[in-house]
Amino acid sequence: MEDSLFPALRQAQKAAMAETLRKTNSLTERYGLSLSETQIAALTDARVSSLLDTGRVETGEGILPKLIYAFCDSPFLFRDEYCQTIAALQDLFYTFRNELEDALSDDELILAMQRLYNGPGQGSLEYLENATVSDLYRAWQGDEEGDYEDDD
Amino acid sequence: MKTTIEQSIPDAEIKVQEAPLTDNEKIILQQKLFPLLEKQFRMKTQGDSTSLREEEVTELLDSILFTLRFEISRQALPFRTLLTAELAPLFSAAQQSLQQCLTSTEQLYRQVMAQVKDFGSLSLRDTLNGIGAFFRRYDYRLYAHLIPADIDYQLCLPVPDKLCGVVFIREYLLRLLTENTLLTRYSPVRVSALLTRFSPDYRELLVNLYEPVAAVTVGHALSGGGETLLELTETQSAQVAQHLVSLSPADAKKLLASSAREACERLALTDPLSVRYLTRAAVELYPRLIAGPQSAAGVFSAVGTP
Repeated sequence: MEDSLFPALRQAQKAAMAETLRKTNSLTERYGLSLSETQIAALTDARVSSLLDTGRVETGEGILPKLIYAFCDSPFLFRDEYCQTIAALQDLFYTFRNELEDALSDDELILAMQRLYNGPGQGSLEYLENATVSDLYRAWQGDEEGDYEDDD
Repeated sequence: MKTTIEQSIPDAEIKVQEAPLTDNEKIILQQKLFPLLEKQFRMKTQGDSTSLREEEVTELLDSILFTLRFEISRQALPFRTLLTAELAPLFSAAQQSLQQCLTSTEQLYRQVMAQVKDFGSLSLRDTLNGIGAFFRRYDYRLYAHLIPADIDYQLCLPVPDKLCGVVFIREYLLRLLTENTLLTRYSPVRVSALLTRFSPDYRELLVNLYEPVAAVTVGHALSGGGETLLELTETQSAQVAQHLVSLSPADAKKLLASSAREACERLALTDPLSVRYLTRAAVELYPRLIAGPQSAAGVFSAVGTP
């Protein structure tokens, strides 16, 4: 049953996800960021691919709105790269979730990613891609940006 | 609700099987399962995560399906009821039923612990202790289909693989009690002697205690009685085998079954489960008894066997 249930579940969530993403524009517009309908469709498709690639199943609103709200005020996030960056962060989020074996909650992992991206990563997705599990733990535990840098 | 032991070891088994779900019905059921899966998902993650690995969600889904199946089976409803019924209240009712089943199974376990004689079998002793841990580990809310217990001791008639969770444990305990009922009809000294003849290291090995006792019980019945001796000679064993070989397989199996029932009468084993269990065990002796000239002596752990 689950062989066909999970793809069906992912597809069924697409419409609700698109509506949720539309709503994020009302907040992100103040930072000069918004998603077009084409980008919303691309992000919902990317979400399905990302879940499939990482072997995960998601329920509810999913992680995209949380990622958007967490990163929209980043000084390193620009309008022309907004959609691609959010899609990449989504991929990384699910990959990290697997690598961490779900030891951190969604909010804790997003906080760690946010600190690495805005801190030592200086907006580099490549830096974030290369982050290890211990980097993520240290970033999550650090009260302030850069606290974890000295540990290396 | 009938237990599986009653369903799977009847005198004449009649089963009506439902046709598998069509593709369209599967889609309908999937859509009805989404809200339940989301609810269980939230309970599992406690709101900490919006996603889980597929393997974990598969376990949640298997648990949901097991729980729903348990309830519709309890209410004697067809599986297709799930296509039309409101699943949320049915699921809540099913969880309550499972909880009650868990409570009654724990009582059954205490009865087993008080009554079952292990004759020094380490695997039986360890298994019974392991089942004790099951009641602490079992999570009927999220993982109702799992069996968190080490069960090494093999029953003479194993619990069907399709049974899961507390239903499996309940069935295992019922079968164990049924096996014990026969064993306690005999002098423990004679049972121990028979088990030692059957396998001198039976205490350390995964040897079922019931099987050799059942075999000799049926062997005595086929020889005309004397079950309480629990001891057949090689000559008696050979005679029994020769007689069975002279019959058609169907007649031989009928004779084994009727002999088992006669033995039950003589041993005052009146409960239907014990009678069915011994009858089924007797019929399953047939291929071993006709395997070769010496096989009967082995099956009956005959006295004088080198």
